[in-house]
Amino acid sequence: MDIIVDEVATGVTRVVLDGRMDIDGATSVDDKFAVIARRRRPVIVDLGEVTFLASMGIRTLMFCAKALLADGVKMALYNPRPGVDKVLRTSGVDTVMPVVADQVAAMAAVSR
Amino acid sequence: MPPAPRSYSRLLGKSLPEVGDAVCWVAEIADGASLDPNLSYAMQVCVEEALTNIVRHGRCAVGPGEIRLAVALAPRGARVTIEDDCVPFDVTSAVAAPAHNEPDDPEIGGWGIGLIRAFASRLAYARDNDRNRLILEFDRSPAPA
Repeated sequence: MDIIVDEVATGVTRVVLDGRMDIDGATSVDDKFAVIARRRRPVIVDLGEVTFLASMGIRTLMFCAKALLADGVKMALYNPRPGVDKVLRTSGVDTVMPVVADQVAAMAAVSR
Repeated sequence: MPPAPRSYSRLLGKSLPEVGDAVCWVAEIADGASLDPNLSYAMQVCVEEALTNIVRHGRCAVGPGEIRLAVALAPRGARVTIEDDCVPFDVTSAVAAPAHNEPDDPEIGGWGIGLIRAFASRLAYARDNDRNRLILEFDRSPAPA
């Protein structure tokens, strides 16, 4: 699992994930998401290149989102592939953090 | 005469790294058989969830805690069989714990059984010789008309 973290113009942290968010993949990015959660800035996560996601990956994303929400800060996911999208909606992740089509919509979701 | 089902099996121990390897093994089988990506994805989700449940929550009173995973491919779909020697647990009838999706809930998790039920076409469970046997079936999508 590859991860790129950068800042977009408005002070929002963007995370781009690439690969399988399975047990190994989630474990490999847990520490980076923990750091991101401590920054207390809005976060958008590009899932476009994530080819697999199940509970272990959800756990990583949910940990970060809940930590941010505790400080009133939002996180949004965008551009999931169909299988990943079904996992997110079946598990109810989309009730905790918005799951939207693209970066523009994600930026809007975390700015509200 | 229809082609004979192709069958694969392996043993794994009760550890999360071995679960990860097993899910990749299922993906390789699906890729090698050129299965529909949606079917392959469903198989992988269910295998990861079922095996993770066993590793994290299964209590083994006797035996080495070994898990047997088998995959059978047939023209109408795929069948995955998972056997373990932990205490009885029937995924097909278990009441799923509520997912911890409330923002102020400090717990995280609770999605596994729901995902298995959503992604498998059919589930069956049996307790046989002090072992749990979970059978997950996945239908191929109908060919476009």
